[in-house]
Amino acid sequence: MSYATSSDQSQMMSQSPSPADAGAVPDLVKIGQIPTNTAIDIETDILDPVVHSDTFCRFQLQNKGILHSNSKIILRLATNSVAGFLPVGVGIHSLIERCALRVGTKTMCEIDDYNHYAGYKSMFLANEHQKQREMFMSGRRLAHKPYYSDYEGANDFFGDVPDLTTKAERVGLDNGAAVTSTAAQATSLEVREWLRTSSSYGPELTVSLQELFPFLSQNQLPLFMMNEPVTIELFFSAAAQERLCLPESASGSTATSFTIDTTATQLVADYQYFPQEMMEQYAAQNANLSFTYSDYRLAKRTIDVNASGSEASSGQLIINVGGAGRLVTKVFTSLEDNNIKSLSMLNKYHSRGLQRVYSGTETARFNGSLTSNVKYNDHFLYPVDVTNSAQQFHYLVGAEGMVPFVNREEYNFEGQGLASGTYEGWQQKSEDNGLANNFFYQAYKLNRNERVNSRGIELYNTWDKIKNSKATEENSCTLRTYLEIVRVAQLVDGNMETFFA
Amino acid sequence: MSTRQNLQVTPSNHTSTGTISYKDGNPLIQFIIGEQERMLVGSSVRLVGDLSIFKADDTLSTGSLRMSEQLGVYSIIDSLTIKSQATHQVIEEIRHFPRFMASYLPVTSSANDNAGHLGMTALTSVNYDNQQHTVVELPTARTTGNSFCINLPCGLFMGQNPIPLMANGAGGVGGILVEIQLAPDSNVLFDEDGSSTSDAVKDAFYQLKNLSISCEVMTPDPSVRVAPANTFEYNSISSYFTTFNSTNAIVNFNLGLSRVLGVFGNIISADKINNRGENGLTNNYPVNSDTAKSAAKIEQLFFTRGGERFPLEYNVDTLQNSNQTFDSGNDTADPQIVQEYMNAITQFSKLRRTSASPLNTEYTSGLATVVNKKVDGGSTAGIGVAYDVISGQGVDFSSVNWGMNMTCDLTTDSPQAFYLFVHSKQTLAFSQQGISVVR
Repeated sequence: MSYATSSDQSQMMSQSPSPADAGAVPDLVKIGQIPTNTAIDIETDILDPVVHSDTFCRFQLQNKGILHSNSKIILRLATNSVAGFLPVGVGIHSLIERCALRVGTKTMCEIDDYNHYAGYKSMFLANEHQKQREMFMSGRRLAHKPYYSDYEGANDFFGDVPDLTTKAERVGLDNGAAVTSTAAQATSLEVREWLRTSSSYGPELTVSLQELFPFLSQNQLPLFMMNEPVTIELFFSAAAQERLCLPESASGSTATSFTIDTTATQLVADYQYFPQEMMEQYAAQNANLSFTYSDYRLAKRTIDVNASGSEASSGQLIINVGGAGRLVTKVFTSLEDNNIKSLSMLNKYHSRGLQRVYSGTETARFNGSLTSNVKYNDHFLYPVDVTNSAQQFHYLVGAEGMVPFVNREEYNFEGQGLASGTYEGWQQKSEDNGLANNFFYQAYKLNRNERVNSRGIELYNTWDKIKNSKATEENSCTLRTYLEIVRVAQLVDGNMETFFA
Repeated sequence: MSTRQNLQVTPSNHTSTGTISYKDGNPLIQFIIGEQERMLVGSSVRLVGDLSIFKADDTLSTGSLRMSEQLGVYSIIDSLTIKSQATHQVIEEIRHFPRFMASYLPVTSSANDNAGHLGMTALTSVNYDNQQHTVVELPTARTTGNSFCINLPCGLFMGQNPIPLMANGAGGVGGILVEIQLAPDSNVLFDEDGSSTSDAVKDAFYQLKNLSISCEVMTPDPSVRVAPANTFEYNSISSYFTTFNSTNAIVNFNLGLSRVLGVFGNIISADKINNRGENGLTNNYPVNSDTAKSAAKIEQLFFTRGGERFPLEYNVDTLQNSNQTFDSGNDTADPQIVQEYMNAITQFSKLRRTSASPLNTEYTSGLATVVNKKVDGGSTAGIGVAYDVISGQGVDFSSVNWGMNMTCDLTTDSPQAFYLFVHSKQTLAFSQQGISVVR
């Protein structure tokens, strides 16, 4: 296939213009614009994994052309008599617990607990994209719509517009299918067929390389200039409880293992070729090629939750999350309730907020708050500890440069606007099985342009009561903190070296 | 290399933990971002706090009490003024701020924005009933309230360049004073069914607490010297107000602005303003005063500059024009009017997200039970025209009048309030002698 590029190549790529002038060779590795009269050949290889089991697979790329960052890995789950469905927030990304990109024996990029990382990143996909694109490509489908009420109290509506009022008390999931409802409320919504297992079908979806390895959204790998083998490794999550969610009707099947159909796993690798002259010139001019990129490091810690009914504030926890001696640009955290797994809509890939009490006397009601701050190089990031959850949301936006597409009750558990209706039997407004209070991610942009000193970065967090999802016993949550660290890749005479900036 | 720091500024005329409300006689809130050797990152400025709404007897809201789902917490800001802290000279002032936001927000944000991140930060919603249920009737209004964190859209803060906070003589504005005038409760809270005396709405009020402004400041690279006299270019919003009450509405203003990028305005029946029985912040096309409050549909529209038609050199004859051969009784707003209005607010070709739809731009009755219950985030009606979406330099209205001539079916005595906003380029010059704004 051959085509001429235009300035509007792909909305998924960043569009920073190339500084190249007409006489120079454009920067082929940096994703952006190149002159419109440059012909590009794209060659697509369908690669089978060189090693594959239910817990691990490895692909080896061929050292030719320039690897297109939007190349895709296809994954399919095996058929199963239990109708498990992909988590609403992360879709097929739930399968990948760890991913690594290695050049020779060197690890260029590796993300641990990738499925949790994907839970955070997926929030930033616009609802429209989730509904119209991602539901078919990766199975992510966190899109919302108002659930309008019916005039007549009929127990269903299927687009019979004259029967609807203009009133929508609740907002709920929108997966492009009709919602069964009554005049009072939406009652149920089912998962689309291609996103759940059956005895004759297993969901097959894709993950793009630039999602697995975020630096590829800025840079492409010049494989033709690399002498060492480039491999992609995927480590899969546990087959039971962690890959798929179960409908409420299958609550007794939590021990079911959902295996991966290894015959379907493939890497659809797109290699780009520019005119040979241009590629040779580029290789000659860039015999010593280096670029900076972001890599992610994970720090985990357990937070205890008291038994139901006697939950208490955590008190101020000062948590050292590492980063000593590194250039860290961003820190983001999630808090997983370790008790919530497949019996929910989001599985483990959520971030719990605080408890709320909306009944009883007015003065006894409250929305719990997180008091947060970050200290590095002996100074706090914020002059005053942040307790306002809308402000924490704003800092999340600032750190990511993009807004999360989740609503208020999903983020900070304020208001009662989520639909009471069910999704595969789980109430959408439920905090234990549904969407409410499960997107309380925090992010901190370390904006002082400083290298972190030997003491590292410390999170100062005080959680109000965290609601225990267990009926009686004590529970625990896992605090995951990802550090975005600046690294440098250097390609010298075909050999890649990476080091921290 | 420049570095950034976060600041959190509490009001200078209130105690930091006190509650603030219009009802209690505290309508003015001031924040001082003091003079310092740093630059303010305008886009990072956020007003942070908690909002609670109560009925007259100080009980939690129930029943038919509402606030604008389109504006959320933006509806409480009546005017926004930014001054130099050192000289108290006004750099920018937006009066009728919620009316400006009532045009700006729905045109530039989608239904999903309203339900999602704007709902989170500004307490807006995609539907009036959802907003009422989640914000106005929040069960924790007595304790924690609705947390919000909004930007303050204005030319100075939305500009790309950081604002130098240094002393006047050192090339800065000498600190910034942000003044927020709160809107009266009667224009924020209303009865959704039009009863201004219902128990739910009578003397209902809103209350703010834990107010602060958070922002980022930048310490310039010490090797880069800031010139002692400097200029700063930004896009500003100027507001104007008039009323009309005839089938031929002729509006004329001497804008006194030299680089006008576009004008846009919105209309509301004057009887809805500051009326607890009506949403004083809704946008609608003109309506008559008959029992059904029938729509006064626009038949023809043109804009003038110095008496000549400009920038469109022809009349926009709408779908409702009696000269048209097809059904002039239809309720669909003329697409050219809608498109020109949206284009005046933000370049139409770059508009990626909007709430405007055929359902919330159509002509409807002005009855509260209709206007207050529109879908897709509420009514998005308005009138406007862009003057320059290419060069960004604008059109000179410093010495010629701006005019609008609209023919509509306003055949009864029904005064219509017309809020006009002018988007123009301005230059702020500062030196040892002080600051001046070149309009």
